[in-house]
Amino acid sequence: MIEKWLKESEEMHDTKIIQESLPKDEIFDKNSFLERLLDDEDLAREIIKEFLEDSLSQIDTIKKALSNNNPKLVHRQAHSLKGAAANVSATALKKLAYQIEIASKTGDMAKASSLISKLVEQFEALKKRLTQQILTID
Amino acid sequence: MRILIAEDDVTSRLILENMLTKWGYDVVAATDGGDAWKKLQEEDAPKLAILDWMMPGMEGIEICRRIRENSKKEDQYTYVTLLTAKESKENIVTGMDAGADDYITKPFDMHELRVRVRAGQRIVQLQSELLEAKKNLELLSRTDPLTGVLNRRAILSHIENELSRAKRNSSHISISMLDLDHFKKINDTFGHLAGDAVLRESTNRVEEAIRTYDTIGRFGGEEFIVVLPGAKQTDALTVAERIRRKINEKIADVDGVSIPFTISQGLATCNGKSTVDGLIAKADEALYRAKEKGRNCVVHADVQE
Repeated sequence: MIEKWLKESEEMHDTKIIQESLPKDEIFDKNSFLERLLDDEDLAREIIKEFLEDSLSQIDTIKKALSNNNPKLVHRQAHSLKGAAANVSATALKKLAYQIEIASKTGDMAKASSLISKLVEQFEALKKRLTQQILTID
Repeated sequence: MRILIAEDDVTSRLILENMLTKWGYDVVAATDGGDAWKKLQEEDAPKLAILDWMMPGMEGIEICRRIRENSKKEDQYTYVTLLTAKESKENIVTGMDAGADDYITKPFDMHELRVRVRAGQRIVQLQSELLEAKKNLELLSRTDPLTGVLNRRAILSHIENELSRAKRNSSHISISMLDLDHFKKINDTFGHLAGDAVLRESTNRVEEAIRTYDTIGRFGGEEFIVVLPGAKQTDALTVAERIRRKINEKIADVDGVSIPFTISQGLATCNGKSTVDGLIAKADEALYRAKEKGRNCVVHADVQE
């Protein structure tokens, strides 16, 4: 009996070490997202749906503001997108949005423009993951 | 408890709305600063507000400033929590300086959000208890505990206010100095508790006899002052006579014991140019004459008998 317990405990210990050594998921960290919503999966789905819709129009606004050379609008939208990305535990997207936010704040529109395709790419990757991992939860 | 959340980002708004509702709060949501400010000015507005720092229309910090400016005028307190991205934590000083009580960084940690909202709720409750107590104390400081009418200080300040109003509007003001006849005898015969009951009975009857905008206050002992704004000499005499008749209507019944009582009144009228002391002195002198005349009567200072 004791042996069994010891074995189990060792196994649990091992799993823990493996989990910790894994690199944190930069595209989408499902665990951290659900944990922050106190595992409310209905809410998670609702947020993701709204997020995907809203971010798409935000990215659109950023693109337009870049071509119209409107750093103020780029800054505001990038800031907003950064917050939304953080809310859904999408670290990679959050980092890119933050870089655009900083670039537009300092008026470096060339840098902001150079980052936008990366941002779109990242958003597409995220969208795929979110659709697979959240929108299909039963 | 009602909470206002002002947040333009849909994900943050959804999270806040859902979580706060789940925890039993009544959520009022605004999607931009202007809307939030409008909702905070409504009657019975939420006393706890969670405001995003960066919002279109009006930023959270600006709303914060306006709330604090407003609460100086009005007797109320709104507890404000600012929402800010983790990267802009250095802005916290500016935010708290503008009048925010607390801040939460995004993305939210639900456990932190919950305890911070709870802390805010505690402050809001303490504040409302404090304001309630203050209001009660103010009322108590103006009220005569025995009869429930204005006390000496309050009725004197009321006369002062009404005098300046009469002066401003070039209108008249009258007062009646009212004294229970042979009150010492009532106390000696029926006891002090019965005397107290007669004082209460008197003020009740005076209140029934006066006009809605007239005020009675206890000047001291068995002496009362009735303030009659806008009343000229004849109006004052009419009201005073109505008071006298109301008192004479029936004998006081104190726990089954019948106690007869009457009052004397001295009236004075002015057009706002008199002082409080001057007006009272005139009414007092008229009251003295009413007592001389045999009590249970009304004498006006400006009427020679």
